[in-house]
Amino acid sequence: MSGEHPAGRGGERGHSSRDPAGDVLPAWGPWTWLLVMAIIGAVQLVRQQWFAAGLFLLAAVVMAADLVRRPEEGSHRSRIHLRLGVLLPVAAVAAVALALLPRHSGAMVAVLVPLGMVALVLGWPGDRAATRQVRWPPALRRLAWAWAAIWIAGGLWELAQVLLVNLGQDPAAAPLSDLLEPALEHRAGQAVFAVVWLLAGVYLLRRGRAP
Amino acid sequence: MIASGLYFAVCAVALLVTDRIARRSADEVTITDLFDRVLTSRTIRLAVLVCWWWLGWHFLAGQTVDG
Repeated sequence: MSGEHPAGRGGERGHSSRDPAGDVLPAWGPWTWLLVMAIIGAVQLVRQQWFAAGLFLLAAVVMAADLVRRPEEGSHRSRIHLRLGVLLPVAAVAAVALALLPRHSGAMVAVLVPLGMVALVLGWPGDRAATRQVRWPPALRRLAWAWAAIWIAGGLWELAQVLLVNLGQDPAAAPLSDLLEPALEHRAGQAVFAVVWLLAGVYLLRRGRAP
Repeated sequence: MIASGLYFAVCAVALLVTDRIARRSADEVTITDLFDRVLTSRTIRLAVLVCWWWLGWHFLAGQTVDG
């Protein structure tokens, strides 16, 4: 096992008997995400939100097909990494539209769908086999596990709230949607959400370059 | 509703606290580094982007409140 450190990085404090460059992403990692997508799709079925259910379940199917395909199959196009100078102006224009258009309208859909397609075009390409060489230093691994536990705890709470609402068991149950809806009903709240959401998208689209 | 709001607030604070703790143990550990490594997997990248996009759809275009 190689002991080299990622270029340009200092060593960690403390002492570890393991490879300081860290282990690779476990093979089951992507499969857990596939499971998450399937669960979310099932919850959307319970909510009778057919579009959302179809979206998540289709994504799970695509992910599964990509995972079982041999690494040498398919194209190995490099990812398109757009500069902030390109992404931010596009996000700014989209933010104006998303802030001003009426929620739940056809015009809003007409803006959101192309944004999703752009994200898919930018996010899909890449050599799947190369991810097996990404190293995880121990400290980063611990952070990843901590974040995973917190997100799972939040997700389980959200799931419980959604089920309680849909099954009519607890009138006080409040999924995240119920908490944010009052703010989103106002133009300012809608604008803040649009900006935060688009900035998050820009951030995510610029991630994923193997160190 | 207050309990649910508090729970989500605690989760958000916990994310920040774990980030701070991680930075103290190793200077090069950052959330951006975490996302960079996680999102090298195309499968995970697709899942994260689908979740991100759906959040926008859910709050801006789709049905938001159940019941």
